[in-house]
Order: sequence, then C-alpha cells, then structure tokens
Amino acid sequence: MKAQLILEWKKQPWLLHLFWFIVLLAVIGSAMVRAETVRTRGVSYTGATADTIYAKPTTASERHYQTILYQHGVANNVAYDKQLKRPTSPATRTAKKILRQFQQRDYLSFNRSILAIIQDDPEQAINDSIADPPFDSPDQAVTQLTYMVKHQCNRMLQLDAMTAVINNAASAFGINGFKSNQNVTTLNTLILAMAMTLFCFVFYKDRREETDTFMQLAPLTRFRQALIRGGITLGLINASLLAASGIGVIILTLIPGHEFGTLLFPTAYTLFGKPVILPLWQAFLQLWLLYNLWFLIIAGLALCLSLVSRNQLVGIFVIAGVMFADKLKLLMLVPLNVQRLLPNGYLNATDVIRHPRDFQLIPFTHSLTVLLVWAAVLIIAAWTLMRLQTSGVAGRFRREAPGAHSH
Amino acid sequence: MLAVAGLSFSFKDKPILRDVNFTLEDGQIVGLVAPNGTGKTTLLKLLCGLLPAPAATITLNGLSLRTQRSAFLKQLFFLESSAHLYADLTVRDHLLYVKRMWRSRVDVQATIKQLQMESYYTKRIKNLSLGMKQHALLAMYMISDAQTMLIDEPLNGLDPTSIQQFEHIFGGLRAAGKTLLVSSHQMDSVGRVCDQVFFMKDQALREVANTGQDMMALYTQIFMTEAAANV
Amino acid sequence: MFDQIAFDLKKNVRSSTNVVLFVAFLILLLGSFFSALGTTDLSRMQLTQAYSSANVAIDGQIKALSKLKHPSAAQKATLARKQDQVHLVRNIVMGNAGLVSPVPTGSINDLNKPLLAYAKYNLRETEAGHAADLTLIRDPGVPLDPSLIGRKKEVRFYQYLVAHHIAELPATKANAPAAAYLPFQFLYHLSPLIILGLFVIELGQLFTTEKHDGTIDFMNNLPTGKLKLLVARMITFLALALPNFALVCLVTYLTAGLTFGWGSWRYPLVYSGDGRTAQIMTLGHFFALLCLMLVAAVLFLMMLSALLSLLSGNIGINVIGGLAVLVLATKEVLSSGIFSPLAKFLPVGYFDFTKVILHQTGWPIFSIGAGIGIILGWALALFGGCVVIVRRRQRL
Repeated sequence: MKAQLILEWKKQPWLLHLFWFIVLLAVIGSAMVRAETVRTRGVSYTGATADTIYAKPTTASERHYQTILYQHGVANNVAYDKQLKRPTSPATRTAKKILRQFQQRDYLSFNRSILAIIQDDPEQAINDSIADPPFDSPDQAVTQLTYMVKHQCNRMLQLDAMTAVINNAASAFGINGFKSNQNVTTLNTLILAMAMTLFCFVFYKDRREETDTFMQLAPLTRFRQALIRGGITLGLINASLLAASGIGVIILTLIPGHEFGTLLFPTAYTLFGKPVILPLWQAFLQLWLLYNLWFLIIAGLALCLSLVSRNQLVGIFVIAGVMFADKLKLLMLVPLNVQRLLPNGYLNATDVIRHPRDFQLIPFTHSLTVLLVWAAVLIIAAWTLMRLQTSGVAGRFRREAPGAHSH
Repeated sequence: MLAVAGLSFSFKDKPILRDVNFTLEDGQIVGLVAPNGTGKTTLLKLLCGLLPAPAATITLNGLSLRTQRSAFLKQLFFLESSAHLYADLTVRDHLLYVKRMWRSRVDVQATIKQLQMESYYTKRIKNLSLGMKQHALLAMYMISDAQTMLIDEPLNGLDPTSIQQFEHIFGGLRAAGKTLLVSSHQMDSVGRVCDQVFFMKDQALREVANTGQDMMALYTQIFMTEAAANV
Repeated sequence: MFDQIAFDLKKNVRSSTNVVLFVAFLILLLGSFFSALGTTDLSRMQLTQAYSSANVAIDGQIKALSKLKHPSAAQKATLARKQDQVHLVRNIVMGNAGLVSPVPTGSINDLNKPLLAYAKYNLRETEAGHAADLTLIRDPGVPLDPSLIGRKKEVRFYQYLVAHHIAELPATKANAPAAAYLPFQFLYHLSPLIILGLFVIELGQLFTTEKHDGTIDFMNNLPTGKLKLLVARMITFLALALPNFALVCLVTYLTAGLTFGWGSWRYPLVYSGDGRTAQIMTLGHFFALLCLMLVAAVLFLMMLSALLSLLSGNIGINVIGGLAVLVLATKEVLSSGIFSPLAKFLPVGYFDFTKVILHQTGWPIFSIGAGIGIILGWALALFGGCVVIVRRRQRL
C-alpha cells in the first residue's frame, strides 16, 4: 500500500496541478478583491457645510463611515430635542449609547442594543437605517443578531458583511448571501474543469502509456490501486483549492485596515418560508462537502470511462457533456421529474447552500444525498467493471477454441 | 511450483493454445521457444491472468490465479518489455516500488552494483538506451524475489557481454530455487541456460529436456522442416 | 507529398477524437434546439408584451402630461408628440393582434408597415433632437440602441421586411427555422470563441501525437523534407476538421429544418459599417462571411499549433497556447486600454466573427476583407517561423 502511494504520488501530473493552482489563485484572488469593491457607500450631509463621506472597502474605512453615521444620528437627535425644547429623549440616549458602544468596539453590547431597537419598532429601525443591509428584513435582522448575542460574538454584522476578509472569501464562492460574485459560475466551471482534466489524466495515464500491464501485475487489486490513485488526486485538488483560497485570505488580512472577521458570522437564507441561520464556518464546510462530492462523481466517471477507452480526450469530453448537460441544454431531453434526480441540478454552490428560488424547498441534505448516491453508483460501477474485466467476462477477449485436447 | 491444467485460448478465430497442461518445478529454468506470432507472449500473459482463461486451472504453490489473485501475484513477476516502464520515473523509483510491493528483502544497492547500473540508476527511463532499459527490467525481476519469473525475450538488444551477464544471473536465480520461464529466439543461449525447453507448436507444448543437444538443430527440425516442406 | 498526406490521413481518420469533436460541435449547435423541444416558444408573446408595454408607457405619459395645470410650451410639444406616438403604437398593437389571434387575420405587412411608420417617426424625431421624448420598443434579446444610427438601422430593417413580405424573427425565438437557426446560434447563443476552442483541442492532439507516441523519430528519418511532413500534417487537419464541422452544420440545418421549417436565407440583418448609414445583410451573406472568417481563424490557429509543436511535444502546452490566444480575443481584453489601439492589427481582433461582420465590436477594426487579410498574414508569418525552425533543425 505504501509503495503504491509513493508511486501514485510520483505519477501525478505536477505541471497540470501547478497550472490549475495558478488559475485558481488568480480567479479566487480577483473575486475576493472584486468583492471588496462591490459597494462603495456614500452619504451626504448638508448643513453648515455639504459633506459627502464614502466608505472604502476596508474595515477601518467602514468603521469611520459608520462612526460618522452614528455621530450624525446623535447630533440629529440632540438638535431635535433642542427644537422641541425637551430634555434628552430616550431615543437620544439610545443613540449616544450605541455610538459609545461602537466606538469602544463593545459589539456585544452594541448588538444587544440594536436587537432591542429592532424588536421594539422594526419599521422605525429600517427608516433609521439601523436594519440596513446585510439584513433583508427586520425578521432576518432579529434572527442574525440573536445568534450573535447568543454566541457571545464580539463582531459587528454590517462591518463584517461589508469588509471582513472571510466574508469576501465567502462572496467569491457565492455563499455569502450578501455580496454576490457575478463570476461564481465561472469559478465553479473552472473547479469542475480542473477536476475533470486531473482525474482523466491520472486514470487514463496507464492505458495511454501502456504501463497498465505493469499495474495489473502488482499484487494489489486494481480497485485498490484506483482508490489510492484517486485519493491522492483528490487530496491534491483539495490542497490546491485550500491554498489558493488561504493565500488570498492571508494576504488581504495582512493589508492594513483589513480584518479577518469571524467564521461564526451568521449568514441567513429562507427554507420552507422560514429564515435559517448558516454560520460561515458551516457554509464553508457545506461548500467543501459539495465540491468533494462533485469530485467523487467526476472521479467515478473518469475511472469508468478509462476502463473502456484509451482516448483521454474522449473521457474529458464525455464527462464535460455529462457535468454541463444543463448548460448544453441536453437536460431538456430528460423529463423534469427525472432532472431533479440527476447531479446536474446541484452544480451551483450558491443554489445548493443559499437556497434561492426553487431551492427554497430543497434542504442541503437532499442535495447531498443525491450527489452521494451518484458518487457511490459510479464507484461501484467502476468496481464491477474491473471485476468483470479481471474475470474475463467483460468480453474484451475471445474465449478458448472448441474441441480442446491434451497436448 | 506452477501448475497449469486445461489451458486453451484463441484470439478472434485463430486458436493459440488447446488444452495445454504442464508444471514448472522450483529451481529450474525453462525455455519457451516458437516462431514469431505463435503465441509465446500470449502464453505468458495467460499464466499471470492478463488474458482470461476461465476454464483453465492455474495454481502457484497451491494459490489459485482466479480466486487468490493478489497472493498469486506476490509469488510471480512478469513485465512484458522495457517499453512498459514509466518514462518519467527513474530506475530507482521502479526498483523501490517493486521491492516494497513484493515485500522483498533483496538489497537494491547490491543489485545495482551487480548489474553495473550505478551510472544511470537515478536517470529517467526515457533517457536510457535499450540496453540500459533491459538492465533495469532485469533488476526489477531480481528485486521482486518472486518465486516464479516469466521473462519475455530478455536478451533482445544486448551486447555479448550483457548476454553473458544475464545468463549468469539467471543461473544464480535458479540456484536460489527460483523458477524461470524464459521465452527466447537465441537458441545458443537457450542451450546454455535452460534445463528444459517448451517448443510451442500446433497449439500445444512439446517438452524437451536439455541434454546438451544442438538446440538450433532441434528448432530447425521442429519448425523449419515442416515450413520448408510447405513452401 | 501525396503519399505522406495519404499516410497521415489514414493514421488520423479513424481516431475517436474526430467522433468526439463531431458530437461536441453538434451538442453546442443544437443547444437551442434541445431547449425548444417540449417547450412553448414564448418569443412572439414577449414581442407582443413589448408592444403593449410601449403602449402603456406612452398612455401613462400622456395622462401625466394632461394633468399638468399650467404646462410649459415644451411640455405641450411633448404631449403632442406623445399623442402622435400612441397613435402609431396602437397601429402596431392592432397589426400584431391580427397575427397572434387564434384565427390569424391579415398579412405580415399589417404589422411590418406600422412598425416601419413608427421607426420613421422615431428617426425624424431623433434627427430633430427629441430623442429623449421617444418611447422605443424593447425587442427581447436585443440590446436597445437609442442613438441616431440605431434609428436608421430600424428604418432600414423594416423597409426590407415590408418590401420582401417577411415576418420579423424575434431574437429569443428558440424554434427558429433552419436558415435562421445557425446564424442565430452565433448571433445570440454561442460565442465563436468556443467553437475555435474545440478546434484548438483537436489541433493540439493532432500536432503532438507523434512526439507523444514516440514515433517522431521514424518521421524524422524519412527520406523527405521535414517541411513537407509538416505541411502534409496541416493538409490532413484541414481535410478532417473542416469537413467534420461542415457536416455538423449540415446536420444542424437538417435537424432544425425538419422540425421547425426551412425559413429563408434572405432574412435581413441590419448593420452599419461607417456608423452613419444603415445597411442590410441577408442571413445567407452573413453565414457565408462567418464561414470565411472561421476558416481564416482556423488556419491561423493551425499555424500556431504547428509552431508550438515544433517547440514542445506536450499537448498541454499546445492547447494552453491556443486557448491563451483565444482569451486575448475576448471583449474584455480587446477593449482594454493596452490592447484597444493594437486590436485592428492583431488577428485576435477579428475572432469574434459575429461582432466583426456586423461592425458591433467595442474595439477598432478594419473592414472584413482586411480582417481576413490580417488573420491570414499572421498565419503566414507563423508558417514562416515554422519554416525557419524546420530548415535549421532538419527535423520536426
């Protein structure tokens, strides 16, 4: 087993791995940087002087922007109290308290205060821009803030949603729920293309280079060899993805004015009409599971095809046709009720994890089950094909001549 | 001991072997001789399961090829030719792989020294000459330390010095109790090295003990006389 | 040379890659066909809604202007214009209603003529400087062009339809008749770069197979000039790839024709070569130009692949090199500050055939003929590179 691991490690197409790593680094990195610039907010104040403040895509700048907002909020309340010739109103006291908590970075108390305001008067909270994005609605705001308070999370939702590095990383993969990455389809396609080319390369290599007889004579079953081969490739693909994402996160976090954020950040989506909290760590975990199930499906397909064909291009094209059957409109040939059972319907990470539109009625476990079943089916099919080929039943060879006699 | 019973095979509509039975005892070198295209390589492939023969019974020291394949293969080594090595891996990579997979105790460095491969041991297969690749292949056989070795025309492309070296090594393996089934066209070498010879003709094997007779004359008698008569 | 070509053809004609590429091209071109099967064509309904939306919008504007207590002279003029517009748009709505009713009445020109009248009105008003007051009909699937040349194109388009009694084909029409199906694929659904991408893969496979399989030494030892071998390989590629693609187009045409009808190659596309005058190009003319440009681009990519194969036998490098060139042909790159001034001198500036033929590129280009000349010129230059390398090395 160890020997096979070492051999399969050496047989890996390292140049191809490097190529895809560079592509991923460029695409994910640029998506993360673009996520920072999705929205530059501005607010203008007129009065003694016209003043327009814009928030740049750093936590420091966003903090400054928010501080100005809250300071103006307090000033407006104080002026209003003065105009009405009344003592400091509860609203003014609350505004001052929020400002103080914000300036002291006591986000835990800040979140409690905001939660209280929204629960007290949701519509007013919207008017006062307290229930601003990232909240889609006061209900969602309450759900998310309650989560933050319950988990003692000392972070501010708006700050992190707009500028935290880990939130931008989530946007790059389309799982943030707030900022969307217009190129997430491209990223998904590239990740699938990476898996297709790599798995086809490793599974076709022996047949292409005629070293398959050597492998067949090693005292290790073909299926085990395939598992080791596929396992190493899967590991390297995961390492590439992790490294490409990780490097982007680390570099951006180290840039002055940026903050990492928190993996507990509660994104929210609607499932069966109810708001559901999905902390970022869970969203990333779901994304990782989803990717790896796609990879297993692609690996299974590549392995099966490599057992019946020597032409690697055929393998890549067939797998591409299967994985992108939706985009190629091939699925239109399949009845709608059957389409939902095919893995193609679960290729979009944003749909599967964030549950927009049709996916509001499809829980993650359902998507996971469909993909898992297909991965298992394909791997079992490959195992069966190998067994048939080894026993000679697969009909690739002609049988012994009739009328046998002793020599 | 390698025991074969009821081995038959045909390729498309051409019969290659018809109900072949034989045994190979431990500690002997058996030559496999036939004209090109008769089916020598096919026989070797059948013996290690690369081609299917469901009706045949092939056992190696009591282990069945069909039902105990991995254990069977641990006792056997066969690699058709040096063209089936990994071009981008080094000789060392191949040798270490074989040592580990066959759980061999044979010392790799000693083998390298014996075959005088020090100068290209760490080179990639694609950068080796034919002779070097043949040496690499032989090294793999030696390091596998398999009980039974099936070797397909090992002397192709070798200079006389290397041929002598290979024959000496085959003798050493026999002395260590290994069984070698060697297909070859080089009748003088067959005569020097083999304990018995299988002549493959008419889908059968004719076993001839090596008593020091002129193997080339025997080859001519078995294969070429008939061929001359048919011209 | 003929022996070499025959030998090369024999080696490659039975490759499964030819079949795979045939299927891949077919799937790409039949994408809309699959969509159209089993689904209702909504394009006519979408067009009807576009007419209705324009009508409703103008009605709303008239109501708002009518409510003004003290309208200014400008507002009165706008109101007058809006009343003219609503009259014209209502003619369109009525003409369309006759065609889409369960029992169609009237002829195609009952809709075309009101559309032409409205287009002429919009042109007059735009020339008079009243473009802001216009309510243009948003044809689904077609970007709205509010400029003067946009209005001229519209007039020219409907003039042609009226003169030839042809019904307008909506861009979103999934079940377009055969003559329109293929051009529509390239116009609205499929980037030519994807088609070229498949050719790049085929080229990579063909030009590196000898080095990969180790038979290159045999080739290099043949008693013939090595350049002849390379040219023979090129001819083999052209003899396999272009008929393969032509067959795909034919199968697509027949499939669409047998299912949706044949249509007419005289259907007009309108474009402007100089930005001032509008011209008509028929679908047949468009498709012919598209094929010409495709062949030129394929020739260029073939020369590139041949050159790369002389430098490396790695199929990955060959394919990535070709794909990198296609990335340069994207709108994002060609419209960027660095490339934009150079785009018209580079072959990649002419790879997006549909935009080039209809002069809709976001970067400067020469004419179509000049573009083809530039592509072929660069192809020749790359061939020159191959000649230099082969003559020097005396081997492939």
